[in-house]
Amino acid sequence: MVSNLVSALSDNVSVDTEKCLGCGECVDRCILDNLRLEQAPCGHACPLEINAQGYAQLIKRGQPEDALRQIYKKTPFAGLLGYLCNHPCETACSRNEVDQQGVSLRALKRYLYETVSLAPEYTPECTAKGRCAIIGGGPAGLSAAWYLAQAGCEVTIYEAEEQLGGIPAQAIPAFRIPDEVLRQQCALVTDLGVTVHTGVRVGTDLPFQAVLDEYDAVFVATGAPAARRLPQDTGTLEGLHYALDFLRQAKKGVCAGVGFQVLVVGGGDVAIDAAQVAKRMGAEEVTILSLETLDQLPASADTLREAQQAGIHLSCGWGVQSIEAEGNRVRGIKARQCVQVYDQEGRFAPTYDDSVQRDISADTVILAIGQQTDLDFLAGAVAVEQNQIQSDPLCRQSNQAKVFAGGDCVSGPNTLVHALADGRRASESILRYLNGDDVSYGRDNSQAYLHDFEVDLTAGSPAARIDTTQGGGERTLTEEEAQTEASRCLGCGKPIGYRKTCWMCLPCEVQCPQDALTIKIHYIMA
Amino acid sequence: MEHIIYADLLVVGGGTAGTMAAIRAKECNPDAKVVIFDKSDIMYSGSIASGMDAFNVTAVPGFSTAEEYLETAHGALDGIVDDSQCYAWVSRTWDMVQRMEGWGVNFPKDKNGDYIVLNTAPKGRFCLAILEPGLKKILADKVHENGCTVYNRTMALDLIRKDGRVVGALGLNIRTGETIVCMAKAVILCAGGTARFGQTTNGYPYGTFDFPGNTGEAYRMAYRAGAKMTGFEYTIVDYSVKDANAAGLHISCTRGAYVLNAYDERIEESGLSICNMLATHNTGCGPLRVHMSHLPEEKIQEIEEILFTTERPMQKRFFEQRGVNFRQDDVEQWPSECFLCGGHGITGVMVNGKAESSIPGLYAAGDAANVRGFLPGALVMGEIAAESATQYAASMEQVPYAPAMLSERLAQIEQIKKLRGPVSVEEFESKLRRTITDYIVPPKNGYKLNRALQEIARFDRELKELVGIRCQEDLCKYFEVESILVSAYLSAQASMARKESRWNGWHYRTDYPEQDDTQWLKHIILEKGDSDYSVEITYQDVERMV
Repeated sequence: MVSNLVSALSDNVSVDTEKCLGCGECVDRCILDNLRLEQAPCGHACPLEINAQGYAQLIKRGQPEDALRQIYKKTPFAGLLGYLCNHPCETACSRNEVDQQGVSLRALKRYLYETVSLAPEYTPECTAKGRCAIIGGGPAGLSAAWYLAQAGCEVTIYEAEEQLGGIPAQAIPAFRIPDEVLRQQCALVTDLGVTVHTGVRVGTDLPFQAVLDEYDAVFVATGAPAARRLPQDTGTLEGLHYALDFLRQAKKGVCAGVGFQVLVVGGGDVAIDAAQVAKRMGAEEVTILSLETLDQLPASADTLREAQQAGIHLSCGWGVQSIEAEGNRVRGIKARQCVQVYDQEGRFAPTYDDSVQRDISADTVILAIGQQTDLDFLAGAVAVEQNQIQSDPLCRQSNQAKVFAGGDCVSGPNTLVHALADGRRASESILRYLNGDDVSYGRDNSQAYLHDFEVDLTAGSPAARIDTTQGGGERTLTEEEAQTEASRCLGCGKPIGYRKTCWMCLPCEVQCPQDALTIKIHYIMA
Repeated sequence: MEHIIYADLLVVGGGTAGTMAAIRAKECNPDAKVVIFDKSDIMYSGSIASGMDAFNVTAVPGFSTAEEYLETAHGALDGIVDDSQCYAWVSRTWDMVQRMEGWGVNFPKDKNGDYIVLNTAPKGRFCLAILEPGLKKILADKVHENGCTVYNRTMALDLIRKDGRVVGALGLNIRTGETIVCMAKAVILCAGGTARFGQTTNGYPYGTFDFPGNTGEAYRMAYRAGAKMTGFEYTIVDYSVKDANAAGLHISCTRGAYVLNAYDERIEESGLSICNMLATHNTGCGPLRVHMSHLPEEKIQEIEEILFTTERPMQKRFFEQRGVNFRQDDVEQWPSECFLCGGHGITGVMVNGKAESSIPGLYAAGDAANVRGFLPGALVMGEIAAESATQYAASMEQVPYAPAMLSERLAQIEQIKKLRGPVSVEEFESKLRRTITDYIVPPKNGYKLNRALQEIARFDRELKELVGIRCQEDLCKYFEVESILVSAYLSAQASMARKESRWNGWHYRTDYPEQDDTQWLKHIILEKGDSDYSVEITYQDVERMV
């Protein structure tokens, strides 16, 4: 805070940290713009800005319904996140500084989803009338659809595949996210009366221009569904698969099966999933071959650990020189050493030492070397650069006023929570657009938050992080475990009287859901 | 300029009057696009953040009529009031009570189930008891229910004029620093008075009676747009709880408390006018104290309940922290800071009974208008302004935004952002408010008022030369200080012009100590000349209904 005549006064805002949730309601209500929220690193790291401190604290206090409500303030999709989120919150968690293990926030989310029967509660800030088309029924599209339908819009989703849900529904293996969860999460949207056209591919079955003409606003969320091809792959060999197709078929139950020696090429979660599925299909030996070294692997630490526990081998620092075949059947690869994966600017640009090679035999090779967008259907109607739709980060609006875009079709392959956040962000933009309001004004509320503050590292319980791995997968925390895990939370975030302009009118106290605030009379006055 | 929106009606200020105006506008025309700009967040913004304990002026059937109130108003304002304007809103106060009750607002009833009407005026009873801490939230919820568009954290900076009409306003986001233009067929100004005017006596710059976010933007904007302004010599100083700027003397005296001076002498009823109390205090016989320790426990509890639950719940903590218990200790009173306000006084945009200002397309209500109506006046004038503005807008075309309308002001804002002088905005404000207290706050005289004008000219220069803008908060405060400075200028000029004394010491000039109805039974009207600091002063006789 830049100092001034008033800032030197003592702070008259007193916070009971045993009660505070770090929710920031008081900061939103303060009519003299006095309060700021020292925002916990978990909420700050979350693209959806979910107040993880809030739900952890409420679980700890035995208030699971209110905990789930904290999540519902920012998204209805507690199930998808509880099972699949890559949890940047846990990585940012201050608890890491205490015992190198963040609070198990995703598991706590899953616990709430599984045990609290409370449907998402949400009151839209504004409503709008309008016909909205959403192209792509994956997480980004579902998220946008939910918010737009809640706000009174007529929503239609065009989904190219036969079911809603995107990558989680089509490709992510069932042991990672049960079908029932997917069904429930998609039903959140369809129960709102949203029109869904599955098996309809915009561009092929109807032109994009027709969608533009018929609807008042369009959200493009087509993801990155296409496999990146290996240049060394010249034709179709038996036993050679691309991971996403392989996973799709496996999930549908129409996969031809795998052999005994399976080689998965790739270092991300898709590679791990493919390896796990192959293992469960009965392969004797499954190896993952990655360009990246162990510490560079994009795959999450959890999934990697599970894979290793399942007996899957990992070979780091190797790329594919050539694919070896016998007749029409793959029999392995020639691998070459990878010297460096990323260039100076951090771009993916691997370099190799061709003199260091090895042969790897395999009767099944699954290529998980990345996904890409498929944007030909736009036919130039919207600006695209390097295979990504250009949309501004604050509003997700493209260069066409009525077209918004988010998720992987904008960013390239990215995380689930990022897609859900884009969907929500775009929905707010669309509502403003339909109402003739400015789309971007006042959207950046970062000034209300502070991030550079001290945290009391002694605040949480001394318990160690609970391990929920079970049989190659994960189990749900019990109530007791959830409370124990939640008590590890340090409760980092809280409001402060930042500008010292408090007028002692007290709406902040009235609105605090936990009665955590007490406003004292300024020393200088009393 | 990136952010431009179009509305049928723009309401500047989402407090009491503003929320009511927006609600009424949507009732009049549900298809209208009604936008509110509010400097904070409308859920609790403005002076009734914690509700109110009285509808100070209500024509309650069976107790009083609007006609009777006119006589009271003449007395209270020493004649400086226009009857038809006053009648227009007082005659609708009872309907407003019904409307509020329909929304769940609590008007307490006595044992017989009747409304509680207090005796605060010399003739007739007009003060209706209300006990509703959640009043503002009720209004804000209705705003959202009715489909108004709210732009919170948006401080209005300037009105836009074209062809002699007001056609929109420029706003600034206090958090992001973005500017936004709202073009509208009509604008209703409800941004309050100047609460941060004189210095506070408790040393805390935000410890004011009215909402301290009211820094005179409405006055500055309307004045710059060329509207007739009036009542700026009505500089209010209250006599109230020392250091807390809270009321309470009347509430306790009507329940048996009495007032002592420094010699433990009891002050008679007649001595309890603010003017007399200030005089007693200023001659060194104070502070006056409210004495309650003789009262029965149930009376004290009644007093505490009223004081501690609504309007100023911080009072309870204040007395606790100070160690004051009504059962043993007296409550010291002290002069409050000086402020300008339409709702408690007559300062503001000059409006008629239809809330019309002197400029087509511009309306005003609440403390921003020259309507001494307190809470009910703000609500009713908000309604009236919405009705008038809706009717006007129906026949007007939307004016498209043209960059030339604001290019000069926007360029100026960019310059302001680059100011890197050594003086912080708070320091500047503090000195300005001290100067106001030294030279404009009563008792006044020609010498002091002239000095005020000299200092104001200097401040105008120094605001551009010495002040440094180091962050977004500084930028917003800069515009607030601009408004306080214009308010000071208008106040000094109006005080100079009125060569008499009036209003129980509020405009008291030692060089013209008597009230002179032969010459001064009129409004002093200020209009902007060629520049902000060249005002044109005219006069208008008060209007009387036959």
